[in-house]
Amino acid sequence: MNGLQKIFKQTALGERPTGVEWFDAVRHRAVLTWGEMELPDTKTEDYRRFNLRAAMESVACRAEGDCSMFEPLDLEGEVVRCDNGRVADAEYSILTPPPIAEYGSLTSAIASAVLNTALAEDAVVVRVARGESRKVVLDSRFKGTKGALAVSRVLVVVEEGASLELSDVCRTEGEVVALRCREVIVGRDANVKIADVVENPEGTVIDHRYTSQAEGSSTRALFGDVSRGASRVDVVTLLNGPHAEAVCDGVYVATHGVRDIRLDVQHLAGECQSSELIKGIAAEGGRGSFAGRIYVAPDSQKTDASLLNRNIVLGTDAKIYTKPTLEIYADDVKCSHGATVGQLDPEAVYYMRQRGLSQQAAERLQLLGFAAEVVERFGGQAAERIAAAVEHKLQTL
Amino acid sequence: MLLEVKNLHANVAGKEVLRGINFEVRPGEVHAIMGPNGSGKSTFASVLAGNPKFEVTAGEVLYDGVDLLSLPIEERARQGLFLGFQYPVEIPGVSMASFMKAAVAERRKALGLEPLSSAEFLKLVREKSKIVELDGKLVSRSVNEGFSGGEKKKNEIFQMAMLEPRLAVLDETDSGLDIDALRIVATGVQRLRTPQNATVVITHYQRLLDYIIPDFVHVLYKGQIIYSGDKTLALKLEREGYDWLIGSQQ
Ligand SMILES: Nc1ncnc2c1ncn2[C@@H]1O[C@H](COP(=O)(O)OP(=O)(O)OP(=O)(O)O)[C@@H](O)[C@H]1O
Ligand SMILES: [Mg+2]
Repeated sequence: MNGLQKIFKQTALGERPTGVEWFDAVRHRAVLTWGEMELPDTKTEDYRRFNLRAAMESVACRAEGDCSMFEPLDLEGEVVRCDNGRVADAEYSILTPPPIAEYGSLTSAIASAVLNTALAEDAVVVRVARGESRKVVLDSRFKGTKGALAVSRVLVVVEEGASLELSDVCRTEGEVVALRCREVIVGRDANVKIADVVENPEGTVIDHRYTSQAEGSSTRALFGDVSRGASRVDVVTLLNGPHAEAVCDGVYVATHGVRDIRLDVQHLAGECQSSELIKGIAAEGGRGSFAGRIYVAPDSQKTDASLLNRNIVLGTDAKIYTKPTLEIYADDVKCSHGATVGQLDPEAVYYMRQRGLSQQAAERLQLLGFAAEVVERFGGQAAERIAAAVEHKLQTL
Repeated sequence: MLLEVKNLHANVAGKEVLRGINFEVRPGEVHAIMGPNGSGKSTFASVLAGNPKFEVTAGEVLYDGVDLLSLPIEERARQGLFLGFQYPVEIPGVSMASFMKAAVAERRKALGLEPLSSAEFLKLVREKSKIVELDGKLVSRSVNEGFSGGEKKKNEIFQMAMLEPRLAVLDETDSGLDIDALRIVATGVQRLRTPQNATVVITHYQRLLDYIIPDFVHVLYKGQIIYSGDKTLALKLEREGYDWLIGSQQ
């Protein structure tokens, strides 16, 4: 029996129940669903370069590392600390809120999400009540040695007319595998701003970010990934009611490992807007892989959607793969998609050197400039943190 | 002698475009280089700056007695060589402020000066942008991105003012400027003159030379300086064109 099966058995057989009835019930359902699924690998999955099966088969036990050595975050807001998936403050855990119907409601049958639901032992629960406005910082810490698995789950419910600014900072220490899943349920006319920062070296991060939006709601998301290890993320956004808006931008710097990003924006109602701009930099043997899709359901007329992936490849051993697609079943829509893969502009480097900057400084400034567009579009403290992390990472190249 | 160019030959894309240039500049001087399109003026400026597109095949360039051609591009700049580009490059996402901050720091380091504090830097920006009446908002934008043709040229002179070069080579800084902008830019350059520095202006028009009065005017043709004179040469060229010179060449 491999490590994952062992962990699974403990969980499925109820050796490690949380004792929270509603939570265990959802978990039990996921265990059953999982029983009918196979761990996908790069052969069975389309356009993926992070092998989920291989990552999961490398797992031996749950991560139990002490996560107290990370620096406190200097971001404004209520800080919710979560160590290897365990929520430090009961107020934000599964213990406090009454059973939440929304939990586990994600409709995307993404393997990592099902696995996460089955194996989670706790969850961060943030509920922003009607008309309320809050700023929350998720301090997501992961620590463990090779073979350790940490499962972290987040549920965010933003009720009608409420607004939330969420910063989720994921830091890893050691070669831990972090299996993360976050569902964000956005009510009517609610406003949400989410920044995801993935920092620090070595760990493997598997992430599912799911957002479900009601009529008239608006979300703006930015992710920045500068980790050294491998990562895989599925970003799924559902626009369920008319006049909903979603912006999802991202920037990553891939070195060493693979950055495997899948983005899926589904226009399930008409008159919604979505826009995604993902910027990738691959260097030092790093690989970036992006598969994006805009889906427009039949009758989702007057959809306005754009999807763009822009990349820079440095050196000969780095690689970028990109595949943006449109799947449109309505006729009165405005949709665009595109991808570019380029190098640094030698004219710009020459120009900057003519003003006294070293070749390296000129290249770095240009790369920072490349990333700056998405960072500036988002703005605020978390965006600054992403910019600083990108800058720091570029300095190591 | 600030600059001594001896028998300079250079190729681009396998074609010889500089065919034996001899040229000297002393501190305090202003030189104008004129010549028909495609004669090699920009190439000459680019070779001085160190543009890797051009291959020097023969000759020598001494800058303040140092072998200029052996220095990397940035070192030439730090030592006070400034090239005002005929076509300034747009650099999306890179703010003028961060770019200039880095450039000024390098120049100061080469001069043995401490880097400027943020407040000092901003003060310098304000002061220097006034010289060319550059809209302050442009400094907070990305380098040359979306600048109009004239704004790009003003921006070159603004950068020159920031860096206080010893030798500035201005490649058609006057083209694309309206009449007022031309006066502003030209008087700006004139104000930056000192007895220690020197300016080489590449231009097609005598107009610029009404403001920046040259000590020498040279005609570059087919990769060679075929004629040199004083400022009256520019007037004669404006009236009569190049035929009388080129004719005697062939
Ligand atoms: N990158 C290049 N590749 C090929 N040929 C080039 C390149 N750059 C310059 N040349 C050629 O070298 C010659 C000199 O060009 P240069 O730009 O120096 O002329 P110029 O005197 O500055 O002209 P203008 O007055 O039009 O600016 C021209 O024939 C030009 O076509
Ligand atoms: Mg030219």
